[in-house]
Amino acid sequence: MKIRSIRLTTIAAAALLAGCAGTPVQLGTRTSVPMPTSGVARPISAEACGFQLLLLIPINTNDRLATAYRSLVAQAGNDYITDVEVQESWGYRLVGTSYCTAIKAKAIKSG
Amino acid sequence: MKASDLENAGRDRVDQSFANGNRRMKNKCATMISVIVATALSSACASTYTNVAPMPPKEFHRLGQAKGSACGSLGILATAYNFIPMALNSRVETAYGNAVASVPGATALVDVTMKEDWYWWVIGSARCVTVTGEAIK
Repeated sequence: MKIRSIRLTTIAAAALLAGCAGTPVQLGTRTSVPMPTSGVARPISAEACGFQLLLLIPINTNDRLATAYRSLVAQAGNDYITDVEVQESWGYRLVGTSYCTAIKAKAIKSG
Repeated sequence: MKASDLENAGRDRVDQSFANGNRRMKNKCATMISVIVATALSSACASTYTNVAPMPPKEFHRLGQAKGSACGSLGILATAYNFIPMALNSRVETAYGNAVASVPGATALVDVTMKEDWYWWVIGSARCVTVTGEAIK
């Protein structure tokens, strides 16, 4: 009985402390793509939010950077993306915490 | 009317006036505290924008892979009290700075990748940002 409770406690502690990993996101156009030498830069921006219920249950929090960046890329179309700025914010929501990632960047049309 | 009645009536008016003054003062204090708390809770919850993928210069030298991390926490205790930020709002800026500093002589990064992990540490939760990229100068 004692061994079982120790095992359960260990498994629960490991599960809680193991945490969660977010999705890695490549920001900005890669340097393998030639930089535009002229062209007008236009500002683009996007935001995605998630919610951490009761500290432990992530709802859209782990991929919010990826979601926001996908939206940014969609706005840029085929334009060159640079000067990517990231802002993180959070808000207290009584039963959990909301986390938001806002991205703004410049989209430059080549030529 | 007796002199003592007049004296009592005057005392009552003074007491009433003090009571009203105290109530007004308490209301003002409660309002001020509410405004201060609301401002602290709402204003302390956003980082500044950090440029993590700046426009590279026309000519640059590649110095190799760079990596930097920074963690911040939101604590302490249970959820209802879990609103004290500890290095949470500066984690992106610090991670980028650490990544640039990880390669001597680097001035910026290109081909940047960013990710965020989180874990729970009983009386709070921590979020760690990792920035990787190629250091340039």
